Amino acid sequence: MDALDGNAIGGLLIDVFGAEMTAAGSTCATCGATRPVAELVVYRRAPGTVVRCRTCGSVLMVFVTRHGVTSVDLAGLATLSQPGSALSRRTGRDRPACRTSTQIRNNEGIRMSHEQSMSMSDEPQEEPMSMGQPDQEPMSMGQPDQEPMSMGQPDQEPMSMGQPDQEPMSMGQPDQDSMSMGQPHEDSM
Amino acid sequence: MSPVSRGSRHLHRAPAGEEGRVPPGQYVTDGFPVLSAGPTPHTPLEAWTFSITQGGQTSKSWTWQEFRALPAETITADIHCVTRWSKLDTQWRGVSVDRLLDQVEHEAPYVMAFCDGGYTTNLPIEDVTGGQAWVAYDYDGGLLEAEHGGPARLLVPHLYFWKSAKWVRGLDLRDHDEPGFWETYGYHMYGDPWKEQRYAGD
Amino acid sequence: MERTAVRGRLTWRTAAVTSVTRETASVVTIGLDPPDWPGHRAGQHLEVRLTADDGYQAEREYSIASAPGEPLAITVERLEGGEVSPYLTEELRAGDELELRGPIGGYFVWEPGDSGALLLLAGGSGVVPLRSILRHRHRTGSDVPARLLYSSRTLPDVIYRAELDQHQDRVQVSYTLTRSQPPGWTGYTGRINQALLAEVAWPAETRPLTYICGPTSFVETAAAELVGLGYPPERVKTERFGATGGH
Repeated sequence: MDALDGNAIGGLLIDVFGAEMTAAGSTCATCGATRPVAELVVYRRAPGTVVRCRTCGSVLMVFVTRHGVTSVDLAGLATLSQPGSALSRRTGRDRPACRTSTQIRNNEGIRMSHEQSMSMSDEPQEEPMSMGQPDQEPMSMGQPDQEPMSMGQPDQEPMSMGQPDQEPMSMGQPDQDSMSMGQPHEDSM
Repeated sequence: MSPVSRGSRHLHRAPAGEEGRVPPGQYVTDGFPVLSAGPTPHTPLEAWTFSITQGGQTSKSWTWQEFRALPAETITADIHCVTRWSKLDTQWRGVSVDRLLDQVEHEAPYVMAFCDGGYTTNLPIEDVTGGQAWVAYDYDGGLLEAEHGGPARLLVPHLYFWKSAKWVRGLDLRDHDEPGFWETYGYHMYGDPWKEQRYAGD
Repeated sequence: MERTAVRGRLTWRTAAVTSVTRETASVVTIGLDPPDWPGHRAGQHLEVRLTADDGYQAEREYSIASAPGEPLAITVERLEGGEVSPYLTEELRAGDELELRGPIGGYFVWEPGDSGALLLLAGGSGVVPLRSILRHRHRTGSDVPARLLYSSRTLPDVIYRAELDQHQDRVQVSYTLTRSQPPGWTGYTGRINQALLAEVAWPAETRPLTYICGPTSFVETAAAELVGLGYPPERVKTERFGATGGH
């Protein structure tokens, strides 16, 4: 069974991150290789979707859908950064624009909340989205004013992230089971 | 309102009269889907070994020649994948795990199967003994193909098939039940298809 | 923070099937009319979901064949043993409905403002998103030079052949046939290799922009050979369809 690439999980990435992510930059926490998510190696049709580094084969992301909720474990990634240009393109009617704010709190592990609006209409263009600090620093999670913390040292509990517009949940407390949040996989109709 | 597909040929309900063979939530397939979390390994047989390990030590190890020389059994089993396909009356040939563990002194309550490519899965000892588990190298009358786990895979048909680890290279005896690959990412530690134990907490 | 109507999620829509056009023995183009379709970018794809009578669902990705602004269409290849493609290529009819969501993709996309002569490498049904790119290039009046190298098993397997042959003035198209060739064939033969690419591809010094799409092995071979010719990897975009040509 041949592997696919990150293009094949474009929809899955939108489900979980709430944004187009195939052009996002990734850094492997094991070997440091950087490449767009679209160029990562993807294994589907497993009990989950496994995304591996094309250079060293390490697991970077694992998506699992259980009981309608899709969650992602990102422990193998050092960084994931969203280039603004991928979202600020004008192409006639198709002009997505996103804004995100990231809140980091002390002493409670790591919390993330996203406030997000995405326009797919002819409304005026908003600021390009950054999934980190405003000038598109790679998305790291850590205490403010300190060195950014890597997204998951290999021997930490896996951290999970899900759909942005839910209640913030703490992620990856050392002695807890990995917690997941996510949006139901299928729309209610 | 979802359109109806008029031709889903490959997955169907249990054959009439055989519904009791199919666990809840499963569909029967005529095919044999290939699912993988990583690239297919290709370990040369000259380099292949199967080991029983414990506490960082190898208690017993067999080369491919030695392994193939062990008494083998033919197994016919229904298998059930957590992705909802079941396949009835699959035929295998392999070595009973009882026979392998009998070669080692141990009191471990759990094993972790380890594999080429780094895949792991955890099982209670009582689920891989008593004639419930094999290390299989033949499937359907021929050599087990690499994409299906060859040269050898674990076969534990009474649990969801992610526990039947492909490309298995050994069993590590453990004092505690620790999560393997899929268990770490949220799948059930035990995985009884008859209780639909697909995910942690089910 | 204002939230507009469409959130950061993809919504499943039920689209009317407006047409099913046979392209080759195993390939059809399906015209679709989804409600409130936001449009798409050249190179993007859709997800299609089929639901069987017993509730079983299967989802697959298919590249959009139409250019932005044209009526939406996807092109689907029938895969041996597939769960979805046999239905789409053999049973679906105009007037039916199809559940889909999209458009999806932000990497394997092309805009007229993108710099660089276009090099498009297609393996089998990998030509579909590249055709969307070529049609978009034409519709926007872009004068970016473009070359397409299209690898197929046999001549009858070539998708969009009439359209590609008709517009050789706009796009230089080279075909290579890997399994069999008709009598008198003057195109290329065999799988792409570095020698073929050296003949057909733009010189690396011109800093072309490359899109490669098709089965995984095709894409990886082609990308490696281009890099061997001096193409910078960051300007070579790839989309792998898996061993048998579909997602």
